[in-house]
Amino acid sequence: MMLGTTAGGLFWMFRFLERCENTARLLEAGLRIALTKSSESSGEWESVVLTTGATDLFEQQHDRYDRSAVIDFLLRNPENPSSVLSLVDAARNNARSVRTALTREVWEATNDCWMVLRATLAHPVSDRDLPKVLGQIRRESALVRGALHGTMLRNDIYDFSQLGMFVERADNTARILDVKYYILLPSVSAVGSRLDTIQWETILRSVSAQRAFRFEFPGAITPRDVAAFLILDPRMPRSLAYCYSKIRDNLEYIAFQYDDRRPSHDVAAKLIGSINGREIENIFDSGLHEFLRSAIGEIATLAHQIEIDYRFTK
Amino acid sequence: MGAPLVHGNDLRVVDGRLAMRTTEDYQPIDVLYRRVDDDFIDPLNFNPTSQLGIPGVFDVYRAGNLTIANAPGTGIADDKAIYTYMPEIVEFYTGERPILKNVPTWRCADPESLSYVVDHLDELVVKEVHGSGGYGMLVGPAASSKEREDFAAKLCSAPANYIAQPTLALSSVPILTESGLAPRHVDLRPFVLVSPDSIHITPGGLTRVALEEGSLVVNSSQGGGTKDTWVLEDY
Repeated sequence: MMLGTTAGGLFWMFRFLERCENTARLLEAGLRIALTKSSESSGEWESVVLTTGATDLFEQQHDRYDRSAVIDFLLRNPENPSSVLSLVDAARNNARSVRTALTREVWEATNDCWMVLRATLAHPVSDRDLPKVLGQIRRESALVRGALHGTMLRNDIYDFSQLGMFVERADNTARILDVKYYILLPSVSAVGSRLDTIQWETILRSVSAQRAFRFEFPGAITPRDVAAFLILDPRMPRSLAYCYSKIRDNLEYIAFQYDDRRPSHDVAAKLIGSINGREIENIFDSGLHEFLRSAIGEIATLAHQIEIDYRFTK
Repeated sequence: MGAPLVHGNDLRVVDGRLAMRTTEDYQPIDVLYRRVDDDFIDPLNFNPTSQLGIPGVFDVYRAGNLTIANAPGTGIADDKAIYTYMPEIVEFYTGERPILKNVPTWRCADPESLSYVVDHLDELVVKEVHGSGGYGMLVGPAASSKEREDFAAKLCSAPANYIAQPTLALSSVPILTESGLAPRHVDLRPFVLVSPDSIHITPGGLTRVALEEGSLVVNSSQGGGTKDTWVLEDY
Protein backbone atom coordinates (compact mmCIF):
# COMPACT_ATOMS: atom_id res chain seq x y z
CA MET A 1 0.00 0.00 0.00
CA MET A 2 1.18 3.50 -0.72
CA LEU A 3 -0.27 6.96 -1.26
CA GLY A 4 -2.27 7.18 -4.49
CA THR A 5 -0.40 10.39 -5.28
CA THR A 6 2.91 8.54 -4.99
CA ALA A 7 1.76 5.73 -7.30
CA GLY A 8 0.65 8.34 -9.85
CA GLY A 9 3.94 10.20 -9.49
CA LEU A 10 5.93 7.03 -10.23
CA PHE A 11 3.70 6.02 -13.12
CA TRP A 12 4.11 9.39 -14.81
CA MET A 13 7.78 9.76 -13.99
CA PHE A 14 8.52 6.65 -16.03
CA ARG A 15 6.05 7.55 -18.76
CA PHE A 16 7.85 10.86 -19.19
CA LEU A 17 11.29 9.24 -19.27
CA GLU A 18 10.16 6.63 -21.77
CA ARG A 19 8.62 9.32 -23.96
CA CYS A 20 11.81 11.34 -23.80
CA GLU A 21 13.78 8.39 -25.12
CA ASN A 22 11.21 7.65 -27.81
CA THR A 23 11.34 11.23 -29.05
CA ALA A 24 15.11 10.94 -29.40
CA ARG A 25 14.70 7.73 -31.42
CA LEU A 26 12.12 9.31 -33.70
CA LEU A 27 14.46 12.19 -34.39
CA GLU A 28 17.33 9.81 -35.06
CA ALA A 29 15.25 7.96 -37.62
CA GLY A 30 14.12 11.24 -39.20
CA LEU A 31 17.66 12.52 -39.37
CA ARG A 32 18.77 9.37 -41.09
CA ILE A 33 16.20 9.82 -43.82
CA ALA A 34 17.23 13.42 -44.24
CA LEU A 35 20.88 12.42 -44.57
CA THR A 36 20.31 9.60 -47.04
CA LYS A 37 17.90 11.37 -49.36
CA SER A 38 19.09 13.70 -52.08
CA SER A 39 16.29 16.18 -51.48
CA GLU A 40 14.95 16.79 -48.04
CA SER A 41 11.49 15.43 -47.49
CA SER A 42 9.46 17.66 -45.22
CA GLY A 43 6.83 14.93 -45.17
CA GLU A 44 9.17 12.89 -43.03
CA TRP A 45 9.46 15.66 -40.45
CA GLU A 46 5.73 16.14 -40.52
CA SER A 47 5.20 12.49 -39.65
CA VAL A 48 7.73 12.76 -36.82
CA VAL A 49 5.73 15.60 -35.25
CA LEU A 50 2.48 13.76 -35.91
CA THR A 51 3.78 10.70 -34.05
CA THR A 52 4.49 12.78 -30.95
CA GLY A 53 0.93 14.10 -31.04
CA ALA A 54 2.00 17.75 -31.12
CA THR A 55 0.84 18.67 -34.64
CA ASP A 56 -1.59 21.40 -33.56
CA LEU A 57 0.92 23.22 -31.42
CA PHE A 58 3.60 22.96 -34.09
CA GLU A 59 1.35 24.38 -36.78
CA GLN A 60 0.38 27.28 -34.53
CA GLN A 61 4.03 28.19 -34.28
CA HIS A 62 5.36 27.30 -37.74
CA ASP A 63 4.21 27.56 -41.35
CA ARG A 64 6.07 24.56 -42.63
CA TYR A 65 7.89 21.44 -41.50
CA ASP A 66 11.40 22.71 -41.68
CA ARG A 67 14.03 20.33 -40.32
CA SER A 68 15.67 22.65 -37.82
CA ALA A 69 12.28 23.94 -36.63
CA VAL A 70 11.06 20.39 -35.95
CA ILE A 71 14.25 19.41 -34.19
CA ASP A 72 14.19 22.48 -31.96
CA PHE A 73 10.48 22.03 -31.29
CA LEU A 74 10.92 18.43 -30.16
CA LEU A 75 14.12 18.94 -28.21
CA ARG A 76 13.88 22.34 -26.58
CA ASN A 77 10.53 24.08 -26.89
CA PRO A 78 9.31 24.73 -23.34
CA GLU A 79 5.74 25.25 -24.58
CA ASN A 80 5.70 21.78 -26.09
CA PRO A 81 4.90 19.37 -23.24
CA SER A 82 6.40 16.56 -25.34
CA SER A 83 9.74 18.25 -25.93
CA VAL A 84 12.69 16.48 -24.34
CA LEU A 85 13.36 19.49 -22.16
CA SER A 86 9.77 19.61 -20.86
CA LEU A 87 9.77 15.86 -20.33
CA VAL A 88 12.96 15.67 -18.27
CA ASP A 89 11.70 18.59 -16.21
CA ALA A 90 8.42 16.81 -15.60
CA ALA A 91 10.14 13.50 -14.86
CA ARG A 92 12.44 15.10 -12.32
CA ASN A 93 9.62 17.01 -10.66
CA ASN A 94 7.74 13.75 -10.27
CA ALA A 95 10.87 12.05 -8.97
CA ARG A 96 11.24 14.79 -6.36
CA SER A 97 7.68 14.37 -5.19
CA VAL A 98 8.18 10.59 -4.81
CA ARG A 99 11.78 10.89 -3.64
CA THR A 100 11.28 8.69 -0.57
CA ALA A 101 9.91 5.85 -2.73
CA LEU A 102 13.07 5.77 -4.87
CA THR A 103 16.50 4.40 -4.15
CA ARG A 104 19.30 6.88 -4.01
CA GLU A 105 20.69 5.52 -7.29
CA VAL A 106 17.42 6.04 -9.16
CA TRP A 107 17.08 9.56 -7.80
CA GLU A 108 20.66 10.45 -8.64
CA ALA A 109 20.39 9.03 -12.15
CA THR A 110 17.23 11.07 -12.69
CA ASN A 111 18.80 14.20 -11.31
CA ASP A 112 21.94 13.70 -13.42
CA CYS A 113 19.76 13.13 -16.48
CA TRP A 114 18.03 16.43 -15.82
CA MET A 115 21.24 18.36 -15.17
CA VAL A 116 23.07 16.96 -18.20
CA LEU A 117 20.19 17.42 -20.63
CA ARG A 118 19.31 20.88 -19.39
CA ALA A 119 22.89 21.97 -19.96
CA THR A 120 23.02 20.27 -23.37
CA LEU A 121 19.71 21.73 -24.48
CA ALA A 122 20.29 25.23 -23.13
CA HIS A 123 21.15 26.36 -26.68
CA PRO A 124 19.94 25.27 -30.11
CA VAL A 125 21.61 22.02 -31.16
CA SER A 126 23.72 22.28 -34.30
CA ASP A 127 23.39 19.65 -37.03
CA ARG A 128 26.88 18.50 -36.27
CA ASP A 129 26.12 17.91 -32.60
CA LEU A 130 22.68 16.41 -33.09
CA PRO A 131 23.66 12.71 -33.30
CA LYS A 132 25.74 13.07 -30.15
CA VAL A 133 22.92 14.84 -28.31
CA LEU A 134 20.35 12.23 -29.33
CA GLY A 135 22.70 9.51 -28.12
CA GLN A 136 23.08 11.36 -24.84
CA ILE A 137 19.30 11.52 -24.34
CA ARG A 138 18.98 7.78 -24.88
CA ARG A 139 21.93 7.06 -22.61
CA GLU A 140 20.71 9.26 -19.75
CA SER A 141 17.26 7.70 -19.71
CA ALA A 142 18.78 4.22 -19.99
CA LEU A 143 20.81 4.99 -16.85
CA VAL A 144 17.65 5.76 -14.90
CA ARG A 145 16.04 2.56 -16.16
CA GLY A 146 19.16 0.60 -15.28
CA ALA A 147 19.18 2.00 -11.75
CA LEU A 148 15.50 1.11 -11.42
CA HIS A 149 16.10 -2.49 -12.50
CA GLY A 150 19.30 -2.85 -10.56
CA THR A 151 18.39 -1.36 -7.20
CA MET A 152 14.65 -1.26 -6.58
CA LEU A 153 12.76 -3.70 -4.44
CA ARG A 154 10.19 -5.63 -6.49
CA ASN A 155 7.15 -4.24 -4.72
CA ASP A 156 4.24 -2.05 -5.81
CA ILE A 157 6.57 0.94 -6.19
CA TYR A 158 8.45 -0.95 -8.88
CA ASP A 159 5.23 -2.24 -10.47
CA PHE A 160 3.71 1.23 -10.90
CA SER A 161 6.99 2.44 -12.41
CA GLN A 162 6.99 -0.45 -14.86
CA LEU A 163 3.33 0.12 -15.74
CA GLY A 164 4.08 3.72 -16.70
CA MET A 165 7.03 2.66 -18.82
CA PHE A 166 5.20 -0.06 -20.75
CA VAL A 167 1.94 1.85 -21.23
CA GLU A 168 3.98 4.64 -22.79
CA ARG A 169 6.05 2.27 -24.89
CA ALA A 170 3.02 0.40 -26.24
CA ASP A 171 1.38 3.70 -27.12
CA ASN A 172 4.55 4.85 -28.88
CA THR A 173 4.95 1.70 -30.98
CA ALA A 174 1.29 1.80 -32.00
CA ARG A 175 1.61 5.47 -33.00
CA ILE A 176 4.74 4.94 -35.08
CA LEU A 177 3.09 2.10 -36.96
CA ASP A 178 -0.11 4.06 -37.42
CA VAL A 179 1.63 7.14 -38.77
CA LYS A 180 3.42 4.91 -41.28
CA TYR A 181 0.54 2.56 -41.91
CA TYR A 182 -0.08 3.93 -45.41
CA ILE A 183 3.32 2.53 -46.35
CA LEU A 184 2.59 -0.83 -44.80
CA LEU A 185 -0.97 -1.16 -45.90
CA PRO A 186 -1.23 -1.38 -49.71
CA SER A 187 1.61 -3.77 -50.28
CA VAL A 188 0.66 -6.70 -48.11
CA SER A 189 -0.50 -8.74 -51.06
CA ALA A 190 1.71 -7.07 -53.63
CA VAL A 191 4.67 -9.26 -52.86
CA GLY A 192 7.87 -8.06 -54.38
CA SER A 193 6.74 -4.53 -55.15
CA ARG A 194 9.59 -2.08 -54.89
CA LEU A 195 8.84 0.13 -51.94
CA ASP A 196 11.08 2.60 -50.35
CA THR A 197 13.28 0.42 -48.15
CA ILE A 198 14.46 3.51 -46.35
CA GLN A 199 10.92 3.95 -45.06
CA TRP A 200 10.90 0.41 -43.72
CA GLU A 201 14.14 1.04 -42.02
CA THR A 202 12.75 4.21 -40.48
CA ILE A 203 10.00 2.29 -38.79
CA LEU A 204 12.43 -0.25 -37.43
CA ARG A 205 14.99 2.33 -36.41
CA SER A 206 12.48 4.48 -34.58
CA VAL A 207 11.97 1.56 -32.20
CA SER A 208 15.63 0.45 -32.31
CA ALA A 209 14.59 -2.82 -33.93
CA GLN A 210 16.66 -2.92 -37.11
CA ARG A 211 19.27 -5.33 -35.79
CA ALA A 212 16.77 -7.56 -33.97
CA PHE A 213 14.68 -7.68 -37.12
CA ARG A 214 17.66 -8.79 -39.16
CA PHE A 215 18.26 -11.68 -36.76
CA GLU A 216 14.76 -12.90 -37.37
CA PHE A 217 14.23 -12.00 -41.02
CA PRO A 218 17.48 -12.18 -42.96
CA GLY A 219 15.85 -11.70 -46.38
CA ALA A 220 14.14 -8.71 -47.93
CA ILE A 221 12.11 -6.45 -45.67
CA THR A 222 8.39 -6.98 -46.22
CA PRO A 223 5.47 -5.09 -44.69
CA ARG A 224 4.09 -8.32 -43.35
CA ASP A 225 7.25 -9.08 -41.42
CA VAL A 226 7.70 -5.57 -40.06
CA ALA A 227 4.14 -5.35 -38.79
CA ALA A 228 4.21 -8.90 -37.41
CA PHE A 229 7.47 -8.20 -35.63
CA LEU A 230 6.35 -4.94 -34.02
CA ILE A 231 2.84 -6.06 -33.14
CA LEU A 232 2.92 -9.76 -32.43
CA ASP A 233 6.44 -10.89 -31.54
CA PRO A 234 6.51 -11.46 -27.76
CA ARG A 235 10.32 -11.42 -27.71
CA MET A 236 10.76 -7.95 -29.20
CA PRO A 237 10.97 -5.52 -26.23
CA ARG A 238 9.10 -2.73 -28.00
CA SER A 239 6.39 -4.82 -29.66
CA LEU A 240 2.78 -4.46 -28.56
CA ALA A 241 2.77 -8.13 -27.53
CA TYR A 242 5.76 -7.65 -25.24
CA CYS A 243 4.48 -4.40 -23.70
CA TYR A 244 1.03 -5.89 -23.13
CA SER A 245 2.45 -8.94 -21.38
CA LYS A 246 4.59 -6.72 -19.13
CA ILE A 247 1.56 -4.60 -18.31
CA ARG A 248 -0.41 -7.73 -17.46
CA ASP A 249 2.43 -9.13 -15.32
CA ASN A 250 2.86 -5.95 -13.31
CA LEU A 251 -0.88 -5.63 -12.77
CA GLU A 252 -0.89 -9.26 -11.59
CA TYR A 253 1.92 -8.59 -9.12
CA ILE A 254 -0.09 -5.69 -7.71
CA ALA A 255 -3.23 -7.84 -7.51
CA PHE A 256 -1.21 -10.47 -5.66
CA GLN A 257 0.25 -7.96 -3.17
CA TYR A 258 -3.09 -6.27 -2.52
CA ASP A 259 -5.09 -9.49 -2.76
CA ASP A 260 -7.56 -7.61 -4.90
CA ARG A 261 -8.38 -7.47 -8.62
CA ARG A 262 -9.59 -4.26 -10.20
CA PRO A 263 -11.35 -3.29 -13.43
CA SER A 264 -7.99 -2.44 -14.99
CA HIS A 265 -7.18 -6.16 -14.94
CA ASP A 266 -10.12 -6.76 -17.26
CA VAL A 267 -9.09 -3.90 -19.55
CA ALA A 268 -5.58 -5.38 -19.76
CA ALA A 269 -7.03 -8.84 -20.48
CA LYS A 270 -9.03 -7.35 -23.33
CA LEU A 271 -5.89 -5.70 -24.71
CA ILE A 272 -4.07 -9.05 -24.67
CA GLY A 273 -7.12 -10.67 -26.27
CA SER A 274 -6.85 -8.25 -29.19
CA ILE A 275 -3.58 -9.89 -30.31
CA ASN A 276 -3.61 -13.34 -28.75
CA GLY A 277 -3.64 -16.07 -31.36
CA ARG A 278 -3.98 -13.61 -34.22
CA GLU A 279 -2.04 -13.78 -37.47
CA ILE A 280 -0.80 -10.59 -39.06
CA GLU A 281 -2.74 -11.35 -42.27
CA ASN A 282 -5.87 -11.39 -40.21
CA ILE A 283 -5.06 -7.94 -38.80
CA PHE A 284 -4.28 -6.55 -42.28
CA ASP A 285 -7.52 -7.98 -43.62
CA SER A 286 -9.67 -6.29 -41.03
CA GLY A 287 -7.66 -3.07 -41.39
CA LEU A 288 -4.32 -2.21 -39.84
CA HIS A 289 -5.28 1.42 -39.30
CA GLU A 290 -8.48 0.41 -37.47
CA PHE A 291 -6.51 -2.10 -35.40
CA LEU A 292 -3.92 0.49 -34.39
CA ARG A 293 -6.46 3.26 -33.70
CA SER A 294 -8.33 0.91 -31.45
CA ALA A 295 -5.08 -0.21 -29.74
CA ILE A 296 -4.14 3.43 -29.03
CA GLY A 297 -7.64 4.04 -27.65
CA GLU A 298 -7.58 0.94 -25.45
CA ILE A 299 -4.12 1.74 -24.11
CA ALA A 300 -5.43 5.19 -23.11
CA THR A 301 -8.48 3.56 -21.51
CA LEU A 302 -6.23 1.21 -19.58
CA ALA A 303 -4.01 4.07 -18.34
CA HIS A 304 -7.12 5.94 -17.23
CA GLN A 305 -8.55 2.87 -15.48
CA ILE A 306 -5.26 2.27 -13.63
CA GLU A 307 -5.41 5.89 -12.50
CA ILE A 308 -8.93 5.38 -11.15
CA ASP A 309 -8.36 1.93 -9.60
CA TYR A 310 -5.29 2.96 -7.67
CA ARG A 311 -6.51 6.45 -6.85
CA PHE A 312 -3.72 8.48 -8.42
CA THR A 313 -5.69 11.72 -8.16
CA LYS A 314 -8.99 11.18 -6.36
CA MET B 1 10.19 7.74 10.98
CA GLY B 2 8.26 5.98 8.22
CA ALA B 3 5.32 8.38 8.38
CA PRO B 4 3.77 9.25 5.01
CA LEU B 5 4.08 12.90 3.97
CA VAL B 6 0.69 14.05 2.73
CA HIS B 7 -1.00 17.14 1.33
CA GLY B 8 -4.56 18.25 1.97
CA ASN B 9 -5.68 16.62 -1.28
CA ASP B 10 -4.39 13.22 -0.11
CA LEU B 11 -6.87 13.30 2.78
CA ARG B 12 -10.62 13.22 3.07
CA VAL B 13 -13.26 12.67 5.73
CA VAL B 14 -14.84 9.23 5.26
CA ASP B 15 -17.53 7.94 7.66
CA GLY B 16 -16.54 10.30 10.44
CA ARG B 17 -12.84 9.40 10.24
CA LEU B 18 -9.96 11.14 8.56
CA ALA B 19 -8.75 8.91 5.73
CA MET B 20 -5.70 8.89 3.47
CA ARG B 21 -6.00 8.19 -0.27
CA THR B 22 -3.91 5.09 -0.97
CA THR B 23 -3.57 2.58 -3.79
CA GLU B 24 -5.84 0.39 -1.64
CA ASP B 25 -8.61 2.97 -1.25
CA TYR B 26 -9.11 5.40 1.59
CA GLN B 27 -7.50 4.16 4.81
CA PRO B 28 -8.46 5.75 8.16
CA ILE B 29 -5.69 7.44 10.11
CA ASP B 30 -5.46 8.17 13.83
CA VAL B 31 -2.79 10.83 14.18
CA LEU B 32 -2.00 13.80 11.99
CA TYR B 33 1.12 15.87 12.52
CA ARG B 34 0.13 18.99 10.74
CA ARG B 35 2.20 21.81 9.34
CA VAL B 36 -0.64 23.99 8.06
CA ASP B 37 -1.83 27.09 9.95
CA ASP B 38 -5.02 26.85 12.05
CA ASP B 39 -6.95 29.11 9.71
CA PHE B 40 -6.25 26.88 6.74
CA ILE B 41 -6.80 23.36 8.05
CA ASP B 42 -10.53 23.17 7.33
CA PRO B 43 -12.32 25.34 4.77
CA LEU B 44 -15.73 24.28 6.14
CA ASN B 45 -14.93 25.45 9.67
CA PHE B 46 -12.35 28.16 9.16
CA ASN B 47 -11.04 30.08 6.15
CA PRO B 48 -13.44 29.01 3.35
CA THR B 49 -10.93 29.88 0.61
CA SER B 50 -8.28 27.47 1.89
CA GLN B 51 -7.02 25.02 -0.72
CA LEU B 52 -4.54 23.51 1.74
CA GLY B 53 -6.91 21.99 4.24
CA ILE B 54 -9.33 19.09 4.50
CA PRO B 55 -13.05 19.90 4.47
CA GLY B 56 -14.63 18.70 7.72
CA VAL B 57 -11.42 17.62 9.49
CA PHE B 58 -12.25 19.82 12.45
CA ASP B 59 -15.54 17.98 13.01
CA VAL B 60 -13.62 14.68 13.10
CA TYR B 61 -11.23 16.22 15.60
CA ARG B 62 -14.05 17.56 17.77
CA ALA B 63 -15.75 14.16 17.75
CA GLY B 64 -12.56 12.68 19.21
CA ASN B 65 -11.79 10.51 16.17
CA LEU B 66 -8.46 12.09 15.39
CA THR B 67 -5.43 13.35 17.27
CA ILE B 68 -3.82 16.36 15.71
CA ALA B 69 -0.26 16.95 16.84
CA ASN B 70 0.19 20.68 16.99
CA ALA B 71 -3.45 20.70 18.08
CA PRO B 72 -5.51 23.64 16.90
CA GLY B 73 -4.80 26.57 19.19
CA THR B 74 -1.29 25.52 20.14
CA GLY B 75 -0.09 28.42 18.03
CA ILE B 76 -0.19 30.35 21.28
CA ALA B 77 3.12 28.70 22.13
CA ASP B 78 4.57 30.47 19.09
CA ASP B 79 3.82 33.78 20.76
CA LYS B 80 7.28 34.86 21.80
CA ALA B 81 6.00 36.57 24.94
CA ILE B 82 4.92 33.13 26.25
CA TYR B 83 8.57 32.19 26.32
CA THR B 84 9.20 34.63 29.16
CA TYR B 85 6.86 32.54 31.34
CA MET B 86 8.63 29.24 30.65
CA PRO B 87 10.33 28.90 34.08
CA GLU B 88 6.95 29.38 35.82
CA ILE B 89 5.23 27.00 33.39
CA VAL B 90 7.85 24.30 33.98
CA GLU B 91 7.55 24.67 37.72
CA PHE B 92 3.76 24.65 37.63
CA TYR B 93 3.56 21.38 35.69
CA THR B 94 6.56 19.50 37.11
CA GLY B 95 6.97 20.98 40.54
CA GLU B 96 10.66 21.36 39.78
CA ARG B 97 12.87 24.22 38.77
CA PRO B 98 13.82 24.13 35.10
CA ILE B 99 17.22 22.60 34.32
CA LEU B 100 17.90 24.80 31.30
CA LYS B 101 17.94 28.51 31.98
CA ASN B 102 15.89 30.85 29.82
CA VAL B 103 17.65 33.27 27.53
CA PRO B 104 17.12 36.60 29.33
CA THR B 105 14.05 38.10 27.67
CA TRP B 106 12.43 41.51 28.09
CA ARG B 107 8.68 41.70 27.62
CA CYS B 108 8.19 45.17 26.17
CA ALA B 109 4.58 45.29 27.42
CA ASP B 110 6.20 45.90 30.81
CA PRO B 111 7.09 49.64 31.02
CA GLU B 112 10.35 49.07 32.88
CA SER B 113 11.49 46.49 30.36
CA LEU B 114 10.47 48.79 27.51
CA SER B 115 12.60 51.65 28.74
CA TYR B 116 15.55 49.28 29.22
CA VAL B 117 15.12 47.96 25.69
CA VAL B 118 14.87 51.42 24.16
CA ASP B 119 18.06 52.46 25.99
CA HIS B 120 19.96 49.34 24.90
CA LEU B 121 18.71 48.87 21.34
CA ASP B 122 22.29 48.69 20.06
CA GLU B 123 22.96 45.45 21.98
CA LEU B 124 19.62 43.67 21.74
CA VAL B 125 17.61 41.67 19.25
CA VAL B 126 13.99 42.83 19.21
CA LYS B 127 11.34 40.48 17.81
CA GLU B 128 7.64 40.65 17.13
CA VAL B 129 5.75 38.27 19.44
CA HIS B 130 3.74 36.89 16.49
CA GLY B 131 6.65 36.99 14.11
CA SER B 132 8.44 34.05 12.58
CA GLY B 133 10.81 33.41 9.77
CA GLY B 134 13.08 36.24 10.89
CA TYR B 135 10.66 38.94 9.74
CA GLY B 136 9.86 42.18 11.54
CA MET B 137 12.89 42.00 13.80
CA LEU B 138 15.77 44.28 14.60
CA VAL B 139 19.29 42.99 15.18
CA GLY B 140 20.55 45.96 17.16
CA PRO B 141 24.33 45.62 16.79
CA ALA B 142 24.04 45.14 13.03
CA ALA B 143 21.53 47.95 12.44
CA SER B 144 22.34 51.55 11.52
CA SER B 145 21.37 54.29 13.98
CA LYS B 146 18.63 55.36 11.58
CA GLU B 147 17.20 51.82 11.52
CA ARG B 148 17.32 51.74 15.32
CA GLU B 149 15.49 55.09 15.59
CA ASP B 150 12.79 53.96 13.19
CA PHE B 151 12.40 50.70 15.05
CA ALA B 152 12.21 52.47 18.43
CA ALA B 153 9.26 54.49 17.13
CA LYS B 154 7.41 51.32 16.07
CA LEU B 155 8.28 49.68 19.36
CA CYS B 156 6.97 52.52 21.50
CA SER B 157 3.71 52.78 19.58
CA ALA B 158 2.86 49.11 20.25
CA PRO B 159 5.19 47.77 22.94
CA ALA B 160 3.06 44.68 23.68
CA ASN B 161 3.93 43.39 20.21
CA TYR B 162 7.61 43.01 21.04
CA ILE B 163 10.12 41.15 23.14
CA ALA B 164 13.87 41.66 23.27
CA GLN B 165 16.81 39.38 23.95
CA PRO B 166 20.57 39.78 24.06
CA THR B 167 22.16 39.27 20.68
CA LEU B 168 23.47 35.72 20.64
CA ALA B 169 26.89 35.10 19.22
CA LEU B 170 26.09 32.49 16.58
CA SER B 171 28.85 30.15 15.62
CA SER B 172 30.21 30.34 12.10
CA VAL B 173 31.28 27.88 9.41
CA PRO B 174 33.03 28.29 6.09
CA ILE B 175 30.84 28.34 3.00
CA LEU B 176 31.70 28.56 -0.68
CA THR B 177 30.84 31.96 -2.12
CA GLU B 178 31.52 33.33 -5.58
CA SER B 179 34.72 34.90 -4.28
CA GLY B 180 35.86 31.79 -2.44
CA LEU B 181 35.54 30.41 1.08
CA ALA B 182 34.00 32.81 3.60
CA PRO B 183 32.61 32.52 7.15
CA ARG B 184 28.86 32.66 7.74
CA HIS B 185 26.72 32.31 10.85
CA VAL B 186 24.90 29.05 11.57
CA ASP B 187 22.50 27.59 14.06
CA LEU B 188 21.41 24.01 14.71
CA ARG B 189 17.88 22.76 15.10
CA PRO B 190 17.85 19.42 16.83
CA PHE B 191 14.79 17.17 16.51
CA VAL B 192 13.66 15.78 19.81
CA LEU B 193 10.92 13.19 20.22
CA VAL B 194 9.14 13.12 23.55
CA SER B 195 7.08 10.18 24.78
CA PRO B 196 5.69 9.59 28.26
CA ASP B 197 8.67 7.36 29.09
CA SER B 198 11.59 9.01 27.42
CA ILE B 199 13.10 11.78 25.43
CA HIS B 200 14.86 10.77 22.24
CA ILE B 201 17.18 13.09 20.37
CA THR B 202 17.25 11.98 16.74
CA PRO B 203 20.79 11.51 15.41
CA GLY B 204 20.80 14.49 13.08
CA GLY B 205 19.40 17.96 12.84
CA LEU B 206 18.91 20.92 10.62
CA THR B 207 21.91 23.21 10.29
CA ARG B 208 20.76 26.56 8.98
CA VAL B 209 23.23 29.07 7.58
CA ALA B 210 22.85 32.80 6.88
CA LEU B 211 24.13 33.39 3.35
CA GLU B 212 24.68 37.12 3.76
CA GLU B 213 27.90 38.31 5.27
CA GLY B 214 27.53 39.17 8.96
CA SER B 215 23.83 38.31 8.99
CA LEU B 216 22.31 36.41 11.90
CA VAL B 217 19.10 35.64 10.01
CA VAL B 218 19.32 31.98 9.04
CA ASN B 219 15.66 31.49 8.12
CA SER B 220 15.14 29.79 4.78
CA SER B 221 12.24 32.13 4.01
CA GLN B 222 14.77 34.95 3.97
CA GLY B 223 17.37 33.32 1.81
CA GLY B 224 19.08 31.23 4.47
CA GLY B 225 20.67 27.97 3.39
CA THR B 226 21.34 24.62 4.96
CA LYS B 227 24.51 22.67 5.61
CA ASP B 228 25.12 18.98 6.11
CA THR B 229 24.91 18.04 9.77
CA TRP B 230 27.53 15.60 11.03
CA VAL B 231 26.88 13.60 14.14
CA LEU B 232 30.02 12.15 15.69
CA GLU B 233 29.73 8.93 17.61
CA ASP B 234 31.81 8.31 20.73
CA TYR B 235 33.85 5.14 20.76
